Amino acid sequence: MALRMTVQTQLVVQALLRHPDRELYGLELAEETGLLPGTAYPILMRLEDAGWVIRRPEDIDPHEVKRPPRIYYRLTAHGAQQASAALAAARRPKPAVLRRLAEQEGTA
Amino acid sequence: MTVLRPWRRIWAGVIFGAAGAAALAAAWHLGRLAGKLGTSPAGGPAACYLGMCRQTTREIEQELAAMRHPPRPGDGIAVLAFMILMAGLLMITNAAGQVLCGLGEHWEGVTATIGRAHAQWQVPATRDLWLLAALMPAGQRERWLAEILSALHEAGPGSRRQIIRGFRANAPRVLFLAWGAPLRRAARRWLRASRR
Repeated sequence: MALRMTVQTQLVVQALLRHPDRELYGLELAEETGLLPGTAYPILMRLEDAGWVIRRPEDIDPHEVKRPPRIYYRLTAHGAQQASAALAAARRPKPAVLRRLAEQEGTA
Repeated sequence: MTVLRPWRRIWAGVIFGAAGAAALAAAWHLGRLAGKLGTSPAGGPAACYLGMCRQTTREIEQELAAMRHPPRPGDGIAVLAFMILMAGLLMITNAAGQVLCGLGEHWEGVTATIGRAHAQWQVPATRDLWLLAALMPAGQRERWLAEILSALHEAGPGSRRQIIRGFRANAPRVLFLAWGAPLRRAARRWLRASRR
């Protein structure tokens, strides 16, 4: 499934790719990307729907640790592959831009 | 193009026709209300407060006087009726599910804009987030609440308001995404049934 790679989506995917062997929870991910947790949440939903990310609720006793359980996110193997390809495609300059640059060089 | 069975097409027409008539009635009353508010001395500031315009009553009157064909409160109704007619035709000829699926990404943009605008208008409060949770499908509700609770608990008191604002601004988009999958499934089922 093709995902629209907005700047925010790219930030979230980059943060997840930076820690391939670690799970990140919402707030941690927000701090890493500079986005608000509310902004990262729908992006993670979309990534999960596309099968790029899996989530896991933290297995703790909330009364014991005195905090609600976190939800951890991690890229799947397929997701990591797809995400790297999508990021590379997003970074690649568009043919129209290259054409315009070539034209500018030609006139200069 | 998917062609619906005749009785389903009639039902779609009846539903969208009724929705269109309700929207027309609401637009008519809103138009009258806006007209009253915009032209009465007491209503001008109220209209400005409601965000209908950013001008004072005097400025509106001056502008209207300068126009050759000043707009009337009901003028928008013709445009709205045309839009409803077009939307109704699109829905009847293509099936609601297909149209809604086709507009997927645009709806997401629309919901994001609504969320941002709403977040700017009101002081952030957690009650909005709990209310929005009630509108979500059961499976997504748990997840949304768990994420909010976790973020609010771990954030410092200074950033709590910012976090609530962020979640609320994204709530319409989350609602759209949460309902998107079940609605798409229902639309596909409906389309399959209508082809048989």
